[in-house]
Amino acid sequence: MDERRLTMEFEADYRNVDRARVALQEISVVCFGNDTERAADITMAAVEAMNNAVEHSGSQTITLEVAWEETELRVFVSSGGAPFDPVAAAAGLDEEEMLERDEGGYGLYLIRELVDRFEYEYRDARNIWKLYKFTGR
Amino acid sequence: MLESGGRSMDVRIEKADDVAVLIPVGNLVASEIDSFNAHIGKLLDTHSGDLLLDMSRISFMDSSGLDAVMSLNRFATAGGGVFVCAALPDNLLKVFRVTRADQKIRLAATGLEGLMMIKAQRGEQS
Repeated sequence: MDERRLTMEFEADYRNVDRARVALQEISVVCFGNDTERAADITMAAVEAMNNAVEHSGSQTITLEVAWEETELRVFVSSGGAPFDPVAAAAGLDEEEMLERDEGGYGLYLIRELVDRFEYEYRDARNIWKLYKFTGR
Repeated sequence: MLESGGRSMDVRIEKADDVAVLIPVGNLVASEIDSFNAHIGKLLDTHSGDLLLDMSRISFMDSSGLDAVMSLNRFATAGGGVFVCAALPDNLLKVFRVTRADQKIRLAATGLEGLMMIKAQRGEQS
């Protein structure tokens, strides 16, 4: 399969996250086939990244870039705002803390647990969250 | 550029003996949380007892949705009630397992099993 790409730029609003999720779910079905669990994992992680951008970045817009081919689906979520490294923040979370947590803060932990690779870059005054999920092929 | 907008989510509320059964329909996500909480708030104005949250009609839930469920659990149990979350689709069950929420909230495979769990818990308490 040749690499295919989809880029969406939208206003930072939860309703737009819903629409982006629907688009990503359709791509995931193509990419992961019957492996619905892996498809759901990357969709969930991407939604958490987009929600975080809406809630915390202060950015007016969010960009979702999706690229997929035979072995991998990549999702990059970028937004403006001050630098925030989610990979470092998520590294400090563990099972014990999740058990003690009563509300809030599940998003970063979910991303870390649901993707195969989680990277971060700050470039051109934008935070870029990079999520990778292997197709298993 | 996408436009914002959309309709609010539906929450069916039924009674089974003294248990309030909540059946949200749609996606329990950040964009729907205000609507969900508004439905729940109305119920909790008149009901202070056991709650069963039937998730069988929820297609997708993010961490905002999980927060809402955790809040509901806290509210119900703080008032001495029993809270059970039932009929979770596989993708939602995974969210509970990954975040360890399954160890903080009673889960049942079906709504009926959830009602039986509440009844059994009531029996133990009396």
